[in-house]
Amino acid sequence: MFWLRTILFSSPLLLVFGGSWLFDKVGELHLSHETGALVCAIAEPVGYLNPLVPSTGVTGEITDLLFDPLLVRDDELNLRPHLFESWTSQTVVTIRCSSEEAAGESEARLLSGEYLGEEMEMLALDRTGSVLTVVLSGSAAGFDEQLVARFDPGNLGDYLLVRLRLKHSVHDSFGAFLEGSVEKTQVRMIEYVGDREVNLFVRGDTDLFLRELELYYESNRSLDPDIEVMGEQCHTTAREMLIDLRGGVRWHDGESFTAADVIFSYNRLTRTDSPLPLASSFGFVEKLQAITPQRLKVEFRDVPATMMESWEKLPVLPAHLLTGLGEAGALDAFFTHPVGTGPYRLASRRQDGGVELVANEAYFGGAPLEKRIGYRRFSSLESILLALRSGLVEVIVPDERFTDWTTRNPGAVTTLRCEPRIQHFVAWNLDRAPFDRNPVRLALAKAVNPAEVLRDTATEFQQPVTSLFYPGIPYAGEPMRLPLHDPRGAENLLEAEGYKLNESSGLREGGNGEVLTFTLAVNEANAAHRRFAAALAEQWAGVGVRVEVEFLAWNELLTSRLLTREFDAVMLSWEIPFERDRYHVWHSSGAGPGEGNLSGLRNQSVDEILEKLRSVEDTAEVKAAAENLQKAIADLQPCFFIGDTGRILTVRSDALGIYRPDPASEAGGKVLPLTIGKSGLESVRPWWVRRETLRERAVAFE
Amino acid sequence: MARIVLQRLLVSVIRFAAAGLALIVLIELAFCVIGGSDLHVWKPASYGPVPPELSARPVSWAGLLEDRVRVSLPVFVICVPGILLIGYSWGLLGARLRRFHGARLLAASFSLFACVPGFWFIILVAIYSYFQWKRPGFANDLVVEQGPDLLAWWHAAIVALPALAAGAAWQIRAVSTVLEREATRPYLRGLFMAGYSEEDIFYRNAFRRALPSLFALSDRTFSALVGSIVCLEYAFRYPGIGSLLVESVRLGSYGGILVSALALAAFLSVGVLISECAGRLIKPGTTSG
Repeated sequence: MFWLRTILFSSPLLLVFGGSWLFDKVGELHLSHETGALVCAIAEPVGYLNPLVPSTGVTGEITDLLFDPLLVRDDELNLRPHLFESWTSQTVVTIRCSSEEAAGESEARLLSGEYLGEEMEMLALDRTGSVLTVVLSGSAAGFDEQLVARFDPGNLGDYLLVRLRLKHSVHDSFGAFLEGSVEKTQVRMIEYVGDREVNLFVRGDTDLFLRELELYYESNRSLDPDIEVMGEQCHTTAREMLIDLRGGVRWHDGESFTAADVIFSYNRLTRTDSPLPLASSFGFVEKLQAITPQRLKVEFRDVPATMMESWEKLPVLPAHLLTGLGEAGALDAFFTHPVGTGPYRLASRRQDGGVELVANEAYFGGAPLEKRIGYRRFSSLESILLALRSGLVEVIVPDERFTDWTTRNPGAVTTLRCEPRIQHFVAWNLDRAPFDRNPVRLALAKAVNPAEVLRDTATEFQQPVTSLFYPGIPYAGEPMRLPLHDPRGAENLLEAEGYKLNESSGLREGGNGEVLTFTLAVNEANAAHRRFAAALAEQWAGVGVRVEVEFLAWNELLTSRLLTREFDAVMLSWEIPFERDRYHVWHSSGAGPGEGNLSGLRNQSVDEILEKLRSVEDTAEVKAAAENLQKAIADLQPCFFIGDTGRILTVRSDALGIYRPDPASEAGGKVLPLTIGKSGLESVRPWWVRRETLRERAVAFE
Repeated sequence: MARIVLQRLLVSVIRFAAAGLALIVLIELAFCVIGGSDLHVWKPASYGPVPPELSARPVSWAGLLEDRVRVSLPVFVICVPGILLIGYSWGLLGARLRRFHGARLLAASFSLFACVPGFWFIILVAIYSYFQWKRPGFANDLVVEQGPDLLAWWHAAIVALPALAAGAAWQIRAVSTVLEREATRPYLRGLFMAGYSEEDIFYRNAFRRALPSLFALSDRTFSALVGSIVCLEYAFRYPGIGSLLVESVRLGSYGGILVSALALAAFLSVGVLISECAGRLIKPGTTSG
């Protein structure tokens, strides 16, 4: 009994022991989570870190830290190698000579340089019988014709070139034709190009052969045959590019980055069901293959000047992790804990919706000096302010209350404005009245006062649209001159179009008494769009146009409005890309349902400008084409451009700098003041470093 | 036994219903006088949605109550067993050492704490928190990523400790008072004269005879505990059921007042029911040495 009583009387001490143990354990939480990291206070949980879908804000920022692009923009927005280390293009011209002797003579003249123009550099030459294969450096259009024109005409073969294109299986189909053909002796040479095309060099009674070929394929329409007589031609041309990948690049799981990853990403993302509309940007690629793990060979159909910009857009995914993963669930799991090649890797996801990143020590460009980044959700504004005062948070995604606080307490934080990357617009359906009339579209643009519509929020600023292209990009120096706010001019235009104002209703009516009205479809989940819609409806009502705003879920908007083009007007936003190619957005060929030209703009001069913008390389010509495109779009108004939006970030004053590692330099890197350059946040964000870290590493600010 | 339990259950239900009715009448009066005559306590629409000040995420009133009860539960789990454990064990020890004023000495530390309700404790927690987490108060921005959420228990313990101290001090004094009173009864003198040892007299007779009275004491601290927790949760910005009541009053949110007050009344009713049943079912007895 004595022991029982002793235990009973001392049992309250258990509470003391329990409390001490708890105190001790909780105290350890301090060290593991609050020190040695660049902390960003975020407002929303971090979503899927998926480079395949455009994401803005914090999720996009983290995705950029994890995934590296193939090519990057430098501070002057010029395209620079990154994961692609170098590339060379070449033109392979195959010339059929009239005889072996003629081929031999031509080979000698080529080797002596007699047949080569000043700008031509011959990389290789091969002769097999009467066929010469010349490899020239560069892939400019017209190289082949220039070369062949220098040959002695007597040495060139006398062939009629017939090109047969099929949907697929050209080898099998044409082989079957040859087996039963009676005129096949006239085919002197055959050259297969991929699985869909064959070049036939024929000589003799070519009419009979062509008739037989046409008859054969008329009975085989399922292969969608296309027979094209190219005329007297003895040469064919193939354009190729050799791309060398940067060596020593590793995925975050330690696997090497190889050509297989690029091919996997290309195949996956240029499919029709890809979440990124990249198929149209890579229409120039005939075939992509790996020559070695570090070298790729690209065979071209044509050579657009914008092809490297297309590669810039291609995100790279790890083939070794994603090959065979078909289910959406498996992909979601990957994008929850992604593996990239970027300067930071994902360490963990936090229960508060944030993430912890750690520096990728194996990063090919040198590991970031800041070893840990924490994206954390603080429970309240008070917590953020206390953390700010204690120096435990460096970057804050502001909300309204925080912005108020910073206004009342100047100096505590520095506000950074990123380049405006998101463009908001209302796409008109040009196939429907009244938007098929340019004056009506112009009137609607003139009726809106941007100052009444655009409004800065805590997290982003808004400004009128000044360009179709990325701000400050070298090829688009001139701003786009959109119609100015002119309600009187708008009314005059509408009057001239026959829309008279009914004084009693305050609305404009056409000749048949129909009210000038349209439905504006808006994504209900987008708060900025909802606000824009209300403001625009009010502005347009001022000139007598009634707008019915239709709020739809994004999926419904996409499937029942955009893809089917069943809308009057739809409010959308897009990310302004670095590239100059806008072919898929404005070209007439993309005006059908489900295509990229949402407005359905069909304009020949715009088409010509777009094609020129794709093909020209000369800087002055590119600038002129970009300027012409902006002018044409401003005049035609296929969309009403609402405004551009850029992110606002706040950082603790004097807390951060930029440290760019440079393994080649003696100092190991360069320290710069904190700024966001012209190339945007993604180019500097990996190199943000706390001053405390710089002091620890004894790196001095310049 | 079943009859006793059912009887006490009926009494508890009546007690809870009376408390609820009083609350409803008060709210209805408030509706009529302050909120306008078109609002009535029986119309769910009168309460509106849960204000964003009461919950950061969109929830129903039931969801809000569930969230807050879940947060307050660790506080009650620490307080109620702690008060009973300390109060009864050290109350018994204090009564046993009554010649040396044991009860007063044992309760003194808790009483001291209770006399200055939580003030010094809060100061100490604030100092510790500042040096540990570089901020006073709770480290709400920390997240426990692995294992049990010890931080949540730490936060609950901070809120619970002042209430526990006050309740334990009162319970020690109350238990020892009952036992000391029992120890002065004349029959014990007779036992002493008959040659029983002091231990036998105290533990086998006085203690056993006092058991019903001791059990009846178990619910006495509950109402004080609820009051303390309402104040402490609000003072510490601890998002439990007590702070819900205060925040609802400040916001004039009748829905919040109703659900939090009813939840606290239910807690009290259940506590009293268990205590009464235990008190009725324990039969006092003695054994000879």
